Amino acid sequence: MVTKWEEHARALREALPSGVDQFGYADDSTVSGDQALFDLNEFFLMQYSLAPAVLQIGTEQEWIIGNFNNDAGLEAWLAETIGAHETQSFGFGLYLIQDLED
Amino acid sequence: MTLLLSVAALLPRLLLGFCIVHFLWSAVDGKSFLVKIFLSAGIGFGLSSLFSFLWIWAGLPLSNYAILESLIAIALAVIVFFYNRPLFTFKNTSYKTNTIWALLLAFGVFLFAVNFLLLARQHPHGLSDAWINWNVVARFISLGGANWQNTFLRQFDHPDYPLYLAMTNATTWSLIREPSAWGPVAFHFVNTFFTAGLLFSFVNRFRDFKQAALATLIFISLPFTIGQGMRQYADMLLAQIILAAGGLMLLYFQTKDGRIALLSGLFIGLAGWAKNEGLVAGIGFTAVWALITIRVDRKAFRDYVFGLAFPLLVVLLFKLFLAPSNDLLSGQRDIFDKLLEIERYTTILKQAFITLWNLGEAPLSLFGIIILTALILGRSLQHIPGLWMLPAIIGIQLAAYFGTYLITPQDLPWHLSTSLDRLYIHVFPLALCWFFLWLRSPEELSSKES
Repeated sequence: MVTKWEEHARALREALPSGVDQFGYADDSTVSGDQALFDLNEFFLMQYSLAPAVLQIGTEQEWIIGNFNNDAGLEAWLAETIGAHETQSFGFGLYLIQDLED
Repeated sequence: MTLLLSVAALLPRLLLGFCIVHFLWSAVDGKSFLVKIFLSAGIGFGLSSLFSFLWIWAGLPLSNYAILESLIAIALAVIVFFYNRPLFTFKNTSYKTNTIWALLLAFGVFLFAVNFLLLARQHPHGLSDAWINWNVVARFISLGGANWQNTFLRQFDHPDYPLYLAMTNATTWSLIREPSAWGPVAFHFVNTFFTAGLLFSFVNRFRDFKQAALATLIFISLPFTIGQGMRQYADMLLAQIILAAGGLMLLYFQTKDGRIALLSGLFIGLAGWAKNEGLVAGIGFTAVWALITIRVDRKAFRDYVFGLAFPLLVVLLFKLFLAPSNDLLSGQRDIFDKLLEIERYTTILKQAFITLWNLGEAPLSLFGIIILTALILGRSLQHIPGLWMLPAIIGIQLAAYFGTYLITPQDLPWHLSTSLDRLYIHVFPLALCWFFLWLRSPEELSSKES
C-alpha cells in the first residue's frame, strides 16, 4: 500500500517548490465541510511521502496539497475559497495548488 | 544490493558497540564473550543515535557525522582486536554443546531469517505506526537538512517520540546515500536477531547451551516475534534494551563488577531514548538498583547512575527544548474519577489476561504451555543469585502500564486493543530469560536420568 502510494505521489513530490517547507492540505472533507470524510490514513501517507515537507490541514498556506476522491467542482470551490490560484494535477486525485493572492 | 549495503552500513556501529562493551567489561571467557557480542547492537546504535542527534542539533550535517563515526569505529575495532589478539583465543572456554541442539538452533535461525525477510518484502515500509511515527521522522532528519526540526510541526501523530530509531535509520540512509526502505528493514532484522542472540547468550551464560537453545528456538519461532520485529516500530528495540539491562543486573550479582552496573545504567538511559515507555523502565530498574545498593554493594547505585547519566541528560534536553508535549499527559482530565471507576480496572484486567493468554500468536497458548511446563519440570536446582530481580522489574513495568491505561485520555477499549500486545513485547524476552533460568534444563533432566 505504501509503495503504491509513494509511486502515485512521486510526480507531486518532484513538483514541490524548493525553499517551501510547509504546505496546506485539503481533501474531500475540506471541500464539503463534512469532517466524516477526512481520511486520516491518507493524510499520514501523504505526510510520509512528502517529508520533509510539513502538511498543515487547511488552506491558509500559499501552497496547498490536494487529495480528492471527488474533484468535481474543485475549481469553483478554490475560486470561492482562496480566490486567484494555479492548479497542477498529478492524477489519482492529487493536486498542487498555489494561492496567488497569498 | 541496497539491502546488502544497508546491512554493511550497520556494521561500523556494531563494531563501535562491541569496542565500548569490551572496554567496560573485559571478561573473555567464551560465554561472556558471546553476551558482549549481542550487547554491541544496543550500545552501538544507541550511542551513535545520541551523538548524531547532538551533532545535527548543533547545526552540523549528518552525512559528515556518519562518515566520521564509521571511520572511528573501524579504526577502534582494528586497534581493539589487534591489541587483544591473545584474549580472543578463548583459552578459558569450557564449553559443552550438543550437535543436535546446535543443528536445531541453526535451522531455527535460518527459518527465522527467511520468515523475517519474506514478511519484510510484503511490508517494506513496516506497518502503519512505522510511517506515521518512526520512519517519517528519519525522513525529516535525512532529507530536511537544516530544517529537520520541522518534524515537530507534524499534526495528529506523536512528534514527541524520542529519536533513537529515527537517528539510526537516518544515519544508515546517509551512508547508503538514499532513503531506501531496505535501510530500516536491515536495522529491524539485526535488532530482532540480536534480541534473540542476547536471550540465547544470557541463558547460556547462566545455565547451559541446551536451555539457551530451547529458549531461543521458542522465541524466534513465534509469529509474534517476527511480526513485532518487522513492523518497524520501537517496541522490539525497547525489548532488547530491557533484556540487556536485566541480564546485566543479574551478571552484576555474580561478579560485583561496577562496570557491569554502569553498562546496565547505560542501557536504561537508552531505553528512554528509544521509547517513552523506556522512561518507565528507568523507574523500575532504578528502584531495584537502589535495593541492590542497600543489600549487596554500596557502590552499585553510583556505578549504575554513572552509566545512566549521559543518555538520560540527552533525553531530558530533548524533552525540554525540542519535543512537543506528550498527548497522553497533556490530554489528562478527570484523573480521580477514572481511578475510582471499577469498570476500568475490570476492563483492563480482562483484556490483559486475554492478550497474555494469546501472546505469541501460536496455535496453542504459549502462556498455558509455560505454566504446564513449570508445573511438570519444576524449578532448577541451580540457584542463580538475584534472579528475583527479573520478575520484580517485569512486575513494576506492567504495573506502570496498568496505571497508564487507568488514566488514559484515549478511549480505553481502543487504547488496549491497539497497544497492549506491544507493551507485552517490551518485557517478553526478559520474561522468557527469567523462565528459562528458573526452569529445570534438559541438561539437568538427562543428568538425573543417567
